[in-house]
Amino acid sequence: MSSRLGLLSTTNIIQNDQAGQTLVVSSLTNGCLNIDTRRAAGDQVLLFSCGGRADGEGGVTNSQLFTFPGGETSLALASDAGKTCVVNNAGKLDQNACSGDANQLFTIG
Amino acid sequence: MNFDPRRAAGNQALLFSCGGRADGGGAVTNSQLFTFQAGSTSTSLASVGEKGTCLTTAGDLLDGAACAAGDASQTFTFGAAEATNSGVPAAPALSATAQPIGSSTTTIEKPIPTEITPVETGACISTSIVTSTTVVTRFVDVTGNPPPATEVPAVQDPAPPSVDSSSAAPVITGAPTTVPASENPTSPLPVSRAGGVLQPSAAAESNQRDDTATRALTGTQIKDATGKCLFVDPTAGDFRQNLIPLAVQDCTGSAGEMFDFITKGIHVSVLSSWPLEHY
Repeated sequence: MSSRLGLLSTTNIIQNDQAGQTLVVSSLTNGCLNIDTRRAAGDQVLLFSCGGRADGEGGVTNSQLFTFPGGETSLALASDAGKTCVVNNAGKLDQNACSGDANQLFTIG
Repeated sequence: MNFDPRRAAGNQALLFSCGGRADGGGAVTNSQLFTFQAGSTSTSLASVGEKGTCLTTAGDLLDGAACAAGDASQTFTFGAAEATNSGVPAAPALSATAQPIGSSTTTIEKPIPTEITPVETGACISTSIVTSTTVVTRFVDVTGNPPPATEVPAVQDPAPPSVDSSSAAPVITGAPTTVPASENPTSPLPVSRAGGVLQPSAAAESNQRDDTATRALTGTQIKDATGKCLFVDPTAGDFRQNLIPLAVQDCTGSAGEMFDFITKGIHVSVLSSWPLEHY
């Protein structure tokens, strides 16, 4: 069953490649992986409406852009110009300063 | 009060949760900071986040426009509201035509939150004086009403959701109590965060699939170093499926473990000099 119950007009945003960056989007909800370091500690890695607006009107937010040169099968999910990485924190995704540690590496597929 | 130039023209000056997170979890966002001189009773309100832009009256709405010195539509006075018989203030505290009634003349050296002039709707002006002469002003709702049943990133919600998170436990009839792991729910279900009940149509509006996007990967699992999968529970967020935490658990192949990598699309662009942040 489709999760889409309606279509809204698309935003008038000019598309443009951001080389080496990707959104990580839930195939189920269409929400974007988002690191928000201004939220409470431990609650900073969340799915959020792509573009960063709760109502779906957002354009682009760098808190949802992750480094992705392309072709990798193992990578760190790094945001903030490679400074902040997603990490498994006791069964829940969290964020830390990128360190190259194995617990910051994820495999795809 | 929040000025967000990334919203549609005419819909950029809005009240939003102070700190810029719909659930109240935000700290500071420059889209809610306005220049203000201590002691002023009549002033323009220039956005700190969007330099050169001032709040202006446009018909009966508040909007933003290029700051123009002396423009009456950009000049606001601060005064006490008139009290009604019930004691509820009746007049807006912020008006381009209101008469100034009193003001602060004290030089304050440290941040002191101050509420000024409740208005009919309960909105008020809250100021935090950040230097001895410059005050950062923002407007907050002090009605005691529950915050929008939503959340996060931004000046985002043109219309408050209809779900009242402060009300009694929602009654959901005829709805399943669990979500099949293979699909996104399309009927109201209890959710973990703001709103309390999933609103599928609102969730679909908030999380529209970008059919124009280039997907480097589609429907792929993401595993940590121990081989566990990132997992999305579609009921773990708010009523619009925002703020969903991601679990890391044993892989099952369910739809909640599937992700797309979008390298080109409407949300992978740089559009302006406005900070690309999620406030």
